[in-house]
Amino acid sequence: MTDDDLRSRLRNADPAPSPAPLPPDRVARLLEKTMSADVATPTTHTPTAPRRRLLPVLAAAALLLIAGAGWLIFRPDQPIESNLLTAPATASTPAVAPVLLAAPAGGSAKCMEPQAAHLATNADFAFAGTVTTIDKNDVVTLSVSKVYKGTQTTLVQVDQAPNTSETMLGSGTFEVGKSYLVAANEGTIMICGYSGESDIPGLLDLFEQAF
Amino acid sequence: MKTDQRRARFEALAPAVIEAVRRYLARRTDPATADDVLSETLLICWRRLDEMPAEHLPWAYGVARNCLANAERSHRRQARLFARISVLDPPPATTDGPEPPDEELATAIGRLRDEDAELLRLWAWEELAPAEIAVTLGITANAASIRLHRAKQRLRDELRKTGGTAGHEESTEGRRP
Repeated sequence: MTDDDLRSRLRNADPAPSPAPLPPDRVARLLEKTMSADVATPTTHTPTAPRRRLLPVLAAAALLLIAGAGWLIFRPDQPIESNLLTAPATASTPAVAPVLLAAPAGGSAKCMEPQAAHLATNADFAFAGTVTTIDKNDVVTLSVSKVYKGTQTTLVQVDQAPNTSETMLGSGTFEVGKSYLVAANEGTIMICGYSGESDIPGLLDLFEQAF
Repeated sequence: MKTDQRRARFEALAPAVIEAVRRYLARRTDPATADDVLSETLLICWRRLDEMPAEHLPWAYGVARNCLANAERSHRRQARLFARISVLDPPPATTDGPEPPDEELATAIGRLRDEDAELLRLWAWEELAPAEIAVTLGITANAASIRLHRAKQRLRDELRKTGGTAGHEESTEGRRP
């Protein structure tokens, strides 16, 4: 019996010679579930079914934790805060005080596909605006054109930490003269596709769907 | 962005891995275990994407093989319990389902060592070359080549034995000069 005979005889006994391929939506779900897992912490045990259903929830919780940590680290210091508050007053605008936001550090967060429902439930402040100035302390001032959710204001200031990058969709950071759509949760900008240049495809749709 | 590149790379190679690993598992375990092990294999591929070689299927088979071994270890505990129960309280005798088409081959494979049988399956069903089998099993290409050769020889011998008792035509083939 030659190798070929042996191989074809074995092949005839193949219990799964040509199984139907998985439907594309199941492949997509499997991929999404897999890629929403944290890359940094490998585990070796077999996840059981209920835990796998929990995975997106856990990922979201981890994101919130990271965002919270970002806020603790990058929240504006005392002196900056007083500057921010006095600046509009000297410009003699009787309008409301600017809303202060912090930009989280990029890089450490792993993102899931942005979803309007997530944006709607998690953002407590969302607006469209144009960057007017960025001062030497990396404080970004935006003039607000539309508030989607939260405090009605005309001015927002973001304390952009020096190393912040890749947090905004588009060029990655705020640039003078460009327009942005920004969502925030408890004073910290939501990254992972929820904030960015307003001409990024899909971002405006996401905002309009959510609010 | 690095994350995006990573996602794009995974999305490009995953469909082929999913199909291949599904077949690999369908040939070796029950559907429920196959589903679990497929998810876990993908997760490991995603996490260790940077380590994945260009020829990713043999590597992915290797991951699936280890995950399956883990899953079966815990199944075996359940099976032992079940075996004890069925000895104490045997189920009524039933007739077997339809006969497998190649009973002789199944018997011959069953007499081989597990390692040899798996080598032959990887060779015939997954259609891997010895160098690829080496990646899957984590051994050298040389060792894979030699072991595969011996496994084929052992299977031939077993087939000859079973064929001999059944008067199968192949019983004479090996004795031809």
